[in-house]
Amino acid sequence: MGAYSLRTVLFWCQQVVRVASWIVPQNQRGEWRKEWNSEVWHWIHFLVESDRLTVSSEMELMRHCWGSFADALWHRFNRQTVLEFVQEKPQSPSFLLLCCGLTLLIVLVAAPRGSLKSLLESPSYTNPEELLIVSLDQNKDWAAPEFLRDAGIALIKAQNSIAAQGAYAYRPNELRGPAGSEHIKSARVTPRLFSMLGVRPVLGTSFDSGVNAECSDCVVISDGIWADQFHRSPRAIGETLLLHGERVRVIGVMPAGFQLTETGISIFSVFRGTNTPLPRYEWGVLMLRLHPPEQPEKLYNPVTTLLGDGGWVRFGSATKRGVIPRPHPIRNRDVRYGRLSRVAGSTCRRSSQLFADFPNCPS
Amino acid sequence: MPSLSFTAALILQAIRTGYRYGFDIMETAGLPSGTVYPALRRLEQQGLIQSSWEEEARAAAEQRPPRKYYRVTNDGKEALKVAGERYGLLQRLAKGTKLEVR
Repeated sequence: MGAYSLRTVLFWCQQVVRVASWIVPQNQRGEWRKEWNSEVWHWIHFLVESDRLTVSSEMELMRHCWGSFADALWHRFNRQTVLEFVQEKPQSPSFLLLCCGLTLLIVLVAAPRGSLKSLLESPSYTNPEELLIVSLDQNKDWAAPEFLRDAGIALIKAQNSIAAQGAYAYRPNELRGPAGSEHIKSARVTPRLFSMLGVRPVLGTSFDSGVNAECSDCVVISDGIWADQFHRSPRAIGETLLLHGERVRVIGVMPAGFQLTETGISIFSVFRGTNTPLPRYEWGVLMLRLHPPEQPEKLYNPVTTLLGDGGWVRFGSATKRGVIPRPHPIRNRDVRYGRLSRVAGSTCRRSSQLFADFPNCPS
Repeated sequence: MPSLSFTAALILQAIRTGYRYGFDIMETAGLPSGTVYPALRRLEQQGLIQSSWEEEARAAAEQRPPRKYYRVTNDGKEALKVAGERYGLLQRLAKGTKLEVR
């Protein structure tokens, strides 16, 4: 066994002891390391002098050095100290308070950001049950999604029973991201739609804030897209995607399982102005939230006036996972109101007669 | 008087027999370092053994680092006596040793 091997063994043993010494309390560290280094030195020299430094004794020596961790741990957490601590400290109220504080701190640090956020923040609505969902019948005439969006704005001004409203427009789309292209469903939403439903992103933000409400290239993605394109990395926020060839920036991720009445929507952007019409390709949905004591039936008339005879009105509930349409409380089935005739023209004009501030109707 | 485990009693017996520093104790007791050193700390904390550093000058004269030596205290001897009654094998091993008992 040469001098090189001896020096190597000694070097590595000393490194192991050095690392283990960091566990030892500082006031005992110097003496502790001195003893261990001395022991290692003597052992190696004993082996060399007695010509017993072989590969197996070398390994034995390394095992000996690894034993320094057990010794160091004893110094840091020796059983007697732990027992004394356990026996004495729990009797003091300050110790119990400290434990509670530490537990809370651990929960705050360890829990996922989104779940904590939803736990600590109260929902922005008070009546999760009463949602009225208005959509067009796809077998009948088509109307631009802006029609329902603007109708919602007009309705909330005219009807005191409506607490909040939101709308979205969905369409098939193509998404390209770091993991490749996908055929998906996208939706344009009114800025406060998610907060009206009481749902918040698990990561990042949505369109509630003033800046994002008008952000033309901001998108919120579904949990599925987050997994497919970004492997659920928190660094997805700020990353860019190509939505129908346009570059968009991810600002938030919706909770797993979140869905609107139209299921399978993977990416959300914000309504801005009026898009190029996509007849029979992009469809709008309006959601109205009623004040708690109000009966949804009270809205039948204004809504059916709005829709004419070509749409659907359903009741739904807003949950943490989005909107769940539910059967009519009385009839126990969806309520359908006949055909919607020429929405873009006659119905809109009829609505504008009902509501003084209804937006201009398309020609 | 603290009750000793067999390992602690064996280490105490080794020190009393004349094996006075960590490596020597490990060698004779056939125990790993991860067992011997914490046991030595515990025995010292219980007052059953006492440690002292070898004189620097003496170690320097022999061109080696100083050793930390352990010796059994009176309490340690008492504890070993009680342990010997409890662990028959230990007593027999102690009697069988050819080394001089200090």
